[in-house]
Amino acid sequence: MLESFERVLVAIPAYNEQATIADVVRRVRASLPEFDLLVINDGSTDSTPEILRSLGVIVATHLCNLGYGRAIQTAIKYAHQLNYDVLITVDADGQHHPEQVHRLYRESRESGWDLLIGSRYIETRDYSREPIGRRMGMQLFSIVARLLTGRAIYDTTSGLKIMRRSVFVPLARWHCLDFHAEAIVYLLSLGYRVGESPISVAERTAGQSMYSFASLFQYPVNTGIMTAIGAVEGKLVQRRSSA
Amino acid sequence: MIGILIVDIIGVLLFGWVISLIRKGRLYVGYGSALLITIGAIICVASVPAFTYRIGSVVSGTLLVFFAIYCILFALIYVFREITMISRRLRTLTQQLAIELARRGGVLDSGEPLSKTQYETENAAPLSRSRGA
Repeated sequence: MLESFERVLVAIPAYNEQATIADVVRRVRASLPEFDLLVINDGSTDSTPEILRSLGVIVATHLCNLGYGRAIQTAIKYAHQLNYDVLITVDADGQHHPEQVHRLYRESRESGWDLLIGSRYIETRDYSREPIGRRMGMQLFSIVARLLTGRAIYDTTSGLKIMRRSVFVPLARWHCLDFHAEAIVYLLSLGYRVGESPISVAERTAGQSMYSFASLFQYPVNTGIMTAIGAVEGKLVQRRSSA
Repeated sequence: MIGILIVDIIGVLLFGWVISLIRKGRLYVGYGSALLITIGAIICVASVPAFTYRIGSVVSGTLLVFFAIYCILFALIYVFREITMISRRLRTLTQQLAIELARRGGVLDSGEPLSKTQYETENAAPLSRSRGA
């Protein structure tokens, strides 16, 4: 068990994850018993709400589906309003290993990262396991982030993130899409410290990805626009505050 | 030539307006991207005759046609902006309700609703306060 004087919240955004949510909650509870747990039920229409009720976990229920980004934003607002020091996000599809969170948390605290991303590619830089569309998007936004901020981020779409209190307000205010490249570039432009630490992930065994065929076209355009605007907005805010 | 210039200037102004609305969060980026692509296409078609012929037009568009398209775009931006603002309010409401539910243990009808004073006392650092600062 990790000795910590910080209040830490682990948040799991879930939308129609009946096949995996119970196992993920049990694993998080077993691996991170000293941290509080919140599940954001993003308007699930399957039996996810009933499963969560039977597990006795604290649930923030969106009465309609708002999307992944808004679920993360709800977790950030909750953490901010209840004075948590750290927010850790873990995906509900069972791909993340909660056992790796302690190491990431310790690294985040010791290195003073405002946002630490659990990165699947920082060590290998091998995107070949991903489908071609997603692989191209990841590499594109990794390059875009480097061009706009001068900082290389290899995994912009990871769902395992450790956020410190310092970034709660900017992330809750800024209209991020999925808290991917646009949020990372925005925070870097504002002068926050964003880092990556290697993690391993399991293959998705049930449920379906939040990316559809249409998002092959929508995602790069929308994220590209928001990333560019985020970079400019971050610089403007920083300049205004330093003036 | 002046006609093309007018079409381009109006297009650039609309482009800037859309970007500004997205930046302020008053226009959802999904609507914004479609509008930006459309405005970009109009500017290209108006400015580059080769484009006009490529898309199958025998004669290039008149100034009146472009004005009509811009009027429709203007109305669309206005409507999308209103939709975005309404959905933003709905989103904030849904999120705040979810947070309140979580704080009450996930039960919708437990106890009386919190008064404003109770709410501010219970929330040590409400976001709404820091937002207004």
